[in-house]
Amino acid sequence: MSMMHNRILPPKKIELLNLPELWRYRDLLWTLAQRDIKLRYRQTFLGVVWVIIQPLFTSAVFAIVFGRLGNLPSESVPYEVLTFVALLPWNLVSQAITRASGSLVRDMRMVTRVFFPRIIIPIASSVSALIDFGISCIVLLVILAIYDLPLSARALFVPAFGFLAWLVSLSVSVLIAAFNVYYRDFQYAVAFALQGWMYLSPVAYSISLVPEHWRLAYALNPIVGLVEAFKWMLIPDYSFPASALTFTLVFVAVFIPVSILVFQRIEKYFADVI
Amino acid sequence: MNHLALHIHDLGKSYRLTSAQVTKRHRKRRVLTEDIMNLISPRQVEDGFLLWALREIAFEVERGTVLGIMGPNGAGKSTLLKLLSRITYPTTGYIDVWGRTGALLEVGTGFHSELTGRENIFLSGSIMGMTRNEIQAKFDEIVEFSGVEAFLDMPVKRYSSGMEMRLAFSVAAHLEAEILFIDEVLAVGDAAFQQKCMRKMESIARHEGRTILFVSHNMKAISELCTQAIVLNRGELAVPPTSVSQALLSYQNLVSRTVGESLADRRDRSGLGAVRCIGLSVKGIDGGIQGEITAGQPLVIRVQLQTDGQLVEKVRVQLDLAQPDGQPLVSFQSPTMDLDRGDTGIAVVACRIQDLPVSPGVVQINLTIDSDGRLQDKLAHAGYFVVVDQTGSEITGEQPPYPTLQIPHSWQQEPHD
Repeated sequence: MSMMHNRILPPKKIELLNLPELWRYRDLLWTLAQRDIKLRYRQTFLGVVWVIIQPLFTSAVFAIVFGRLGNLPSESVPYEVLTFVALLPWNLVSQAITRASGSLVRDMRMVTRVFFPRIIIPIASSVSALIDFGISCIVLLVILAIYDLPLSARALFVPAFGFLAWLVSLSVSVLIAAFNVYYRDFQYAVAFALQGWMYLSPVAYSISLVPEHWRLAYALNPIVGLVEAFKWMLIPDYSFPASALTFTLVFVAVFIPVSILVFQRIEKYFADVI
Repeated sequence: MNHLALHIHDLGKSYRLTSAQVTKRHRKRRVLTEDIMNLISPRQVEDGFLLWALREIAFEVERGTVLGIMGPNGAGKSTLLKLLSRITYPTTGYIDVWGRTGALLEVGTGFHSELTGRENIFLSGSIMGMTRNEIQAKFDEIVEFSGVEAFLDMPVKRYSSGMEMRLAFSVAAHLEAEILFIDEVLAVGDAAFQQKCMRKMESIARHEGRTILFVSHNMKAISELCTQAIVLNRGELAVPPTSVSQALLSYQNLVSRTVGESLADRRDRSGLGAVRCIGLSVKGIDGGIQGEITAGQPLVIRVQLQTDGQLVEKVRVQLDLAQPDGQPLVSFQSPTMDLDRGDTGIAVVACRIQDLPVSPGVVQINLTIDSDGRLQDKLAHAGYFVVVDQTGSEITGEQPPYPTLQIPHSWQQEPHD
């Protein structure tokens, strides 16, 4: 009989992600994600319809306030279409962050009673945002058909950039979820921070409003590259945001490992302080 | 080393007292950023702010052992289980573990009331480390054991609490692990289900090669299930792995020391209080250790009483002996007497028992005092003592695992006529 040997040691300064262990717990990731998806719309009357209504309503408000009243430009498409496209990655990022940041505290009883790789909790709770994203993409197809707008082959990249958006959310939310264990303030701060972040990104307005000489600094925000990439994929004759997107990739490449390392560093104290 | 399941080396766990627990003055000086820096790079904290929950614990557990963990509240039993099951991590020392571990520190971990019974089986199972396939393979068994087949597709919030507990326990009981850590989960459900759980735990324990560490206050459960036991006290290993009866005896001594000291201070009592019990001792008449009785030998139980007047009339003392879980064994009632507390201010009433025919185990004493028909003092768990066999302290196979009255008897087969 081959016996698995394991040595339980005091936490070290640098704890790497234990990938074999994470792999053994892959079913838990999926089960928890399923739980969150099931729970979201159980005992609601409209169910999944809420996923459709939320972005439609937001883009309608933006179209009325900024498009009609503010008379802002909207490239070659109606204002509501421009903002709906921009809301696809933004909603994915913001909802994944919102759901993940409170997740460890919500599942406190699990954290104090059972062992499993803790990072599964924030990751699993952000998966439901991907489902919402998928539904919104289908809604967009309907909108494009209604407005009689063409769909180019670039749209095939949508899943890839959706995944990139999810990675952007994780590089932030894994950290917030961990800090939130110590100070619940983070959970509340997230709501405000996301609102500010949205207005720093070209979601409610076109990037053409940002002065040319500010563009580079503006693109330090990783959301800019994402949102512009979605516009490039879904809006006819839109230019490819090469430099902004490069920065988004650099952001993910740097912050995902950093977040994971910090998370691993402090997760071993979760049960003591939660 | 392959015969070992666990090897614990110099294990210690300290908690840093949080800002709310240290002085206000200190708290003011702490700021958020400092705390965050602390998380990322904890500095050596002054010893004064550390609370050691466990210290210098070292022992080995061989594969196949069912080890009971005893100790008063706050002894560090739960902390030890949490360290073993990797919920929290040691401050010093380390643990070598051979085999897959599973922890049942609570019944129903991860259960969600909005989900159905079926969904909760998968959720709870995978939280405890089972894969989907393993759960699938055991699904029918789990459902059958729980007895909630008819309600599988109903949200758990519509279950009675008993049903929910039964389902939760069934999932836990079907966990595939070579080493199991169990924390008093047996204290769920009604008596019938507890019996069922107990039998299930026994069959798990007998499963070849399975190692179990079992924390409980229930000495009956410990003596029924365990092959060895340890005693923890104030974060230290008071008794390293030894036979259950030996550990029970040491635990009893520990408890009687701590309980004996504070019998006067105990608040969980009822009665008018004109007469109160402030001390209780049990001793064999032929000497021996306080709290240890040899079966069949005479013994004396002494009760120290404090009265608020010089003389209290028509006092009656009743001693109820019981099994550790409270099942009554036998009662002794004194005649009514007038107490004279004399110069010391304390009256002593002694009950001499010529022969207590009880099989080996831990016996609990519950005490009631009344005067002139009015209840003066009632104390449950006023004391414990251990009954050992005349030949030695080992509980032999033919003995029931809990103390019970022993009436001389014999068994034989007779021809049918």
